[in-house]
Amino acid sequence: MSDSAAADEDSADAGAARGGDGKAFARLIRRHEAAVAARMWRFTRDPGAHADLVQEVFVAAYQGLGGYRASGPFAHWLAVIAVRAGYAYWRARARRPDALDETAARRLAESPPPGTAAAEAGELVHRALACLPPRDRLVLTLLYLEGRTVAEAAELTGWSRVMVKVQAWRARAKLRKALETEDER
Amino acid sequence: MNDDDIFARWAALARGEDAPRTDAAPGVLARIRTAPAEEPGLWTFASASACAAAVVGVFGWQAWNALLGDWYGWLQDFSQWRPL
Repeated sequence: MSDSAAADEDSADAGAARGGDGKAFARLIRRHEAAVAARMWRFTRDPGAHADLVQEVFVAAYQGLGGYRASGPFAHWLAVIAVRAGYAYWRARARRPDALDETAARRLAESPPPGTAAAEAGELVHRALACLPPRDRLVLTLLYLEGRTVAEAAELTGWSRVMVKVQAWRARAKLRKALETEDER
Repeated sequence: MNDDDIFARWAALARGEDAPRTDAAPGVLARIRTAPAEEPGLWTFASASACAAAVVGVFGWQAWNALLGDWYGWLQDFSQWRPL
């Protein structure tokens, strides 16, 4: 299916869902669930919490359908909701950021050896970012893990580009310090 | 190569990871049915009305007028403020 055809379907289904058509909203969920699930896996590695977060995103999307303008892609609108839901999840449970263990820090100090599985890298990167406060963690998740540009990260977070750059600079410094501290043990 | 480059390599590799499959539709539709879409305008209006009624009920009309008057006066002062 071409991008424009998919966008038309999204737009039609969003309109129908706004009018209370549950089947139309179910179609939207099925089309976008894999992308949302991939994104939310960067916010939690707990399978139960992950499933809840994915649901949370779609419930928030349903409740916010009145604010969706078909002029932009539904996927992008949904991505903003997902990022905010993930950030709220971190903030709600951010008593103290997790500490990075020595083994993980040592591995992250070297380039990934050939043949390293993506899941293993994902686990290590997640653990490293979990030692940062939510704002730092969010900006590095978007820039590093999602490979977003500063402009895209700004759109997703609602921050200015300057704010994203400043936050990223601070976050990198904190991450470097966390990795070094663990490395020096 | 610096630490950022190394971390970026790990992150780039992690990008290829598959997330667990989920089946959100049944749960989402059930939650939507039990909790219909919010009407923020209605809630705001209802909360503001309840707040006004409580002020009038407890302190009387004069208190409400005084509250609005104070707010209006403050707004005027603020809009007319100039640095010395």
